[in-house]
Parts: sequence; C-alpha cells; structure tokens
Amino acid sequence: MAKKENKTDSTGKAQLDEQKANRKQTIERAKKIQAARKAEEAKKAAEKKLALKQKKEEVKPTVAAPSENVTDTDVRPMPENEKKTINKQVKSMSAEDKKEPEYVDFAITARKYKTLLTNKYKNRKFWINPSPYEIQSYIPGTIIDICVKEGKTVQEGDPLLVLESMKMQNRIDMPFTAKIKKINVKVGERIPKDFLMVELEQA
Amino acid sequence: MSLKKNIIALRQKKAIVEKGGGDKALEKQIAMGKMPARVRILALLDEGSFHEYDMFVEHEEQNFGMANKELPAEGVITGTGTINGAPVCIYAQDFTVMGGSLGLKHARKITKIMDHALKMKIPCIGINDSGGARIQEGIGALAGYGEIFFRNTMASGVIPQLSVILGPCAGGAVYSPALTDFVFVVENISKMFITGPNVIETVLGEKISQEDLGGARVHAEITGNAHFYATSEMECFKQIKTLISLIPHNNEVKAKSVAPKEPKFRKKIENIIPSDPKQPYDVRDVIYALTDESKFFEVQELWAANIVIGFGRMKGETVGFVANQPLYLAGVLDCDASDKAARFIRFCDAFNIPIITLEDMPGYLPGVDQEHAGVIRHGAKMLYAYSEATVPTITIILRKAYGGGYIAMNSRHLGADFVYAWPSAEIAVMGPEGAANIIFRKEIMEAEDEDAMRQQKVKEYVEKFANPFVAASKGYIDAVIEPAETRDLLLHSMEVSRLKEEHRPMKKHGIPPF
Repeated sequence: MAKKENKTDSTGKAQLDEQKANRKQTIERAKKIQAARKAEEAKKAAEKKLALKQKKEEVKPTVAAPSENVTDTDVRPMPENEKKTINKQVKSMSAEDKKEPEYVDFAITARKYKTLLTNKYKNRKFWINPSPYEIQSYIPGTIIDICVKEGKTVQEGDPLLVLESMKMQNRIDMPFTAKIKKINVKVGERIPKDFLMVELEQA
Repeated sequence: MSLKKNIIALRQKKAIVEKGGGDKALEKQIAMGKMPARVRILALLDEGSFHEYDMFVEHEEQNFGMANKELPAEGVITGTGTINGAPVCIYAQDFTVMGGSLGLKHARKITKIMDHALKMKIPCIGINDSGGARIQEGIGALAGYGEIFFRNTMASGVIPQLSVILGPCAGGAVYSPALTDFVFVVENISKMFITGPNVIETVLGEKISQEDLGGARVHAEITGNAHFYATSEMECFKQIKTLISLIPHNNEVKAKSVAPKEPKFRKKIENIIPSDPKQPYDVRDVIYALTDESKFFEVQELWAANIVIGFGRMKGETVGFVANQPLYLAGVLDCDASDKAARFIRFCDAFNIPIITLEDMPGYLPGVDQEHAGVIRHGAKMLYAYSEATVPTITIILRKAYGGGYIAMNSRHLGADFVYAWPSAEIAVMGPEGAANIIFRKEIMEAEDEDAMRQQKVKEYVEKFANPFVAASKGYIDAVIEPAETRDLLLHSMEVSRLKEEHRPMKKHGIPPF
C-alpha cells in the first residue's frame, strides 16, 4: 500500500529544494509563533497569579463588587437569577475577563479586531506543507518490519516498512525512486500518527 | 391468602428491587460521588410524581453463569412523572446493578418507555450511567442498543429528548445521547467516549486519562457533544428543570407561556455596543436587555464561544436566540459555530420556537485548518437550517454584516420574516479596508502617498457603504431602528407572526450537508 503518492517524478530538484526551504520556513515560523504564544501565556499566568494574590490581600467582602469597577465596554452584570445557573468555570472565566480583558488583535480580511481567543483556537495545529522526502505514519501503530537500509537507493514501489495498526499490517511502499537518508524507527517500536519514520534524499 | 397479605408480599418484593445492587454497591456508588439512580429520579421530578414501570422485568440469559443471577429492575429504572407540572417519561440506568450494563431486557425497558413518550407526545429524559454492553448477552446487547438508536431517530423532532450523562457512557452507548436534542454533563462524573483509554493505550500506545479523553469539560468545550455543563448533579437537575419549562411538550404545541415581565437589566441598550467596529463587547448584554427579567438560558456556552445560542422569554413566550459574539474570535463564523447554530435553529424550528438572530460578524474565519476542516460543508449547514425554518424569524443587524456572513445570519434572502438594522449597522460585501484596497487598487497604487490615499478611500467607502441605508434602499431590511425600540419591535413582530403559515415543497426529507 503506497501511502505517499508519486508527485515528484516530473518535478525538478530545484522545485523540491524550494519546497523544502518553504517548508522549513513554515516550521520555523510556526515554532516562533508557538514560542511567543507560550511566553505570552506564561507571562499572563504570572500576572494573573500576582493579581489574584493582590486581590486576596485586599480581602473583598462581597461577590457582587467586581461589576462596579469595570469599564463601560466590558461590563457584564448578569441578573442575579442568571448567575446561579451559570457554572463556576464560566463565572471565573468571565471574572477574569472583567479584570484584565487581554484582547488580542485578530485579523479578518484587512481589518484587525480586538477580541479574546478560545482555547480551541489557541491550540489549533499549524499547517505544514508536507515534504515528499519525509515518510510519516498516517496512522498510529507498531513497526513490525523494515525492508531497507540507510544509504541504499530504493526503487519506486518497493516495500519500505510494515506498520501494523488496528490488527492490519500496512505495507508502506517507496513513493518514488530515492536514497534512504535516515530511518527513525526500529522494529517493534510503537509510534504515534504523523511520526517521521523515514527520511529520503535524491538518489 | 387475603388481599392484605398480598399487599404485604408486594411491598416486600418492591423493597427488594428498590435496593438495587445492594448496600455494598450503593456505598461504592456514593463513594464515587454519584447519586443512586432512584434518588436521581426523585431529585429531578416533582415530589411524589414518579411512577415506576416494569419493576419486575427479568433477563433471560442462560450462559456464562447468568442463569441464576438476579438483576433488580434489570439495571434500569423507568417510569413517568412531572417536572414543574410538565409530564415526562424518564429512565435511569442503575450502576449498582451489574455496572448498569445493558442487556436485551434492559434495553427493551428503555425502548418501551421511549415508545410511551412518543405515543403520549411528552419529552423523554434518559439518565445514562452504564459500563456498556452486558458482554454475557453478546448480540442481545447490541440488538438492544440498535433498537434504542432507532427510536431516538423516530422521536427526533417529535418530542424533545434529553440525555443526562451521570457516569460512564462508553462505546456504542454514546450514540443514543448523540442522537438526542440536549446532552447534560457533570464535572468529574460524566465520561463519554467510543473507545476508552485502555483500548487506546493497548492499540495505539497513547496514554490519556478518562477525564482528559472524554470528561465533562472536554465535551462541553472541545467536542461540542454536550450542551449543558454543571459542577454537581443537583445543578444539572436544575438546568434540566429550566430547559423543560422553556420548551414545548412536542412538535404540535407551543411552549407554555408564563406571565410577561419587563427586563431587569437597566443598562441603556444603546450604550452596550462600542461605536468602533473593532472593539469587542459581550453580545449577551444585548440579550439581557431584551428578555423578560433579563433571563437567558444559554446552550453550549463553552463550545464555539464565538456564537451564542440559547432560550429566553419575550412577554412570557419562549424564543431562541442566535447571536454572534464579538468577545470571542471577533464573532466570526467557523466550523464549530456553524454546527452549533445550525442544530439549534433546527431544534427551534421543529418545536415552534421563534428565532431571533442578532448579527455582528466580520465574516468567516480565515485559515488552513478551517478550510481543511471543511468550513464550506459546515458553514452550509447554517444556510440550510435558516432557509428551511418556517417558524417566525427576526434578524437584527447590530453592527457588522459582511459578505457571506451577512447572508448566513438569516438575511432576508434566506427567508427571514423581519430584518431590522440599528443605525450602527455596516452591511457590505466586506470590511471597508479590504473593499477599498480592491476597488481603488489602481488609485492607491498610482498615488504618491499610498497610505494617505488608502486612508482617504477607506473613509470614502465607509461613508458611502458602511451603513444600513444601501440595504434599506433596496428593501433588504425592513426598517432602520433605534436600539431602544428593539424590544417593542420584537414583541410586535412576534405578535404579527402569531398566525404565520409558511409551506415548503412536499418531500420525504431534505438532504442537509451533515
């Protein structure tokens, strides 16, 4: 079962290199963004902790107090009876929003909006242009056989390795004729999805 | 034997069944922080209203040492009762009886009460707390699940169906809740998944806890499988009671109306929305300013927070709200938001609940993840749901209404009955910056100071098009209204559409982009 399609037959080396470079850039960018986001989140968490600490020291007597000291735009005074039906998590969430609405710039077309991000959006996966020279697992499973060796040139369609998953042995074939640069798995190893199993290079 | 003796014997027999799986199992249930099944039913229903059916049903399995095994009430309690006077059918799986496992007779008790609910045209509530299929019964258990799913589907859109997940609900069992209208989950108690952590670990080597895989929070915030999230069973029951009071008994009647009340929320409605279209606010404040007593019962508040859906009352009558939420992701439409709104619109339409749409959205969320996740197919669900709806629908454009989003948010073109716009509305094909960049591309490129030219052109565009009057001049909106008039106008529109009749072409059923 050849997973990767043979897309590279007619494409030249230059094109591939370009693709590779692009891909590297994308990865780096994604990494940078992720790192920046992490740092930002860590900073925010620290700030929140501090603010919470300060708040505790102030010892506010009532729960209703926060709604009085907020600005016009982010005020969210809920009716008493509604408050009860809304669960604690949301309460604490909106309470945080009130105190320090960390709005971010969010671009839709040419305009940037101030808004909050959802957790799901923050945790979304960045898309990375897949390289034909990297054979990744398309399903999690166990490597039960490796048919090639590093440094050898393998013909298109020849078996590369066997990945067992869901009681099915999936043969991963060579997508195009190329040299095996590196094998990142061992027989018996259990790997997740999208794991970089074999790296190829121009024969 | 005299009748008196018979009565005593009956009471004894009942007492044995009511003990469920016995004291030890009960203690275990309580130690897990869970209420016993019977207690749950009694806590949810009006006092003294519960009447149990099929108490003495027994299984017929002979294999695997089951022949002499007695399972009180077959591990599931079924019956009828009332919630704030509204009749309901209910079943609750009893985890103390063989882990609440589902055998054929267990399933038949459930399908019997479901059939009853469908015949009586009253809501059906299922409390799920089961380890899964009763393995000893093999195919019998699978048959049971299938029969439940079939009934869930038959009853869909005829009677409201509620699923309450108060324990594990794994494997095939989760498909029954997925087919019902509303799913309730409770922190640390609810666990829903198709394949549990054990299977995932042995097959795929991925380690994850039950809570992280399919806990209440996961389903309320990430998957969208749950509609209501509570931190305790009692809070959950309160949510169910509120919901039952807001929705009708079946698809042929209207929800019960209550005494009309004025909104309590006294912040001036025109001060809620910042004039700068880039600034966020909480759209729920607008809803509070419109509804009776400023009450709003939000559905799926944690999932896809960029759109807000839920029920409120206007002059005592239940209405459904669909509103873009600029507080999150600028209120864009994306896959999840479209799914969330579309299903809610279909529920309202099926159960005669007028839909009020509050629009303030900048468009669809751009991104590879969205496109690859099929935002086309998901976004289409919303168009389908609005176009299909024949209940009274009212749209109020609060601020931004750009591009495809303008059409999707129940525009006139999709069949809205009333479309109003606030003077702050900007109805255009896209945001002014984007539009100016395209329309005046040449002028901007040729100008000496590109930025200044761009600014000027954007300003021109805003003045000419970023307002409600272009749409009003074509009759696409019925009126440009002052925010303070909104509630009165909504009430009037509902009054006018009280006798509304709208028919669609005859068909077996449509084919929405599921």
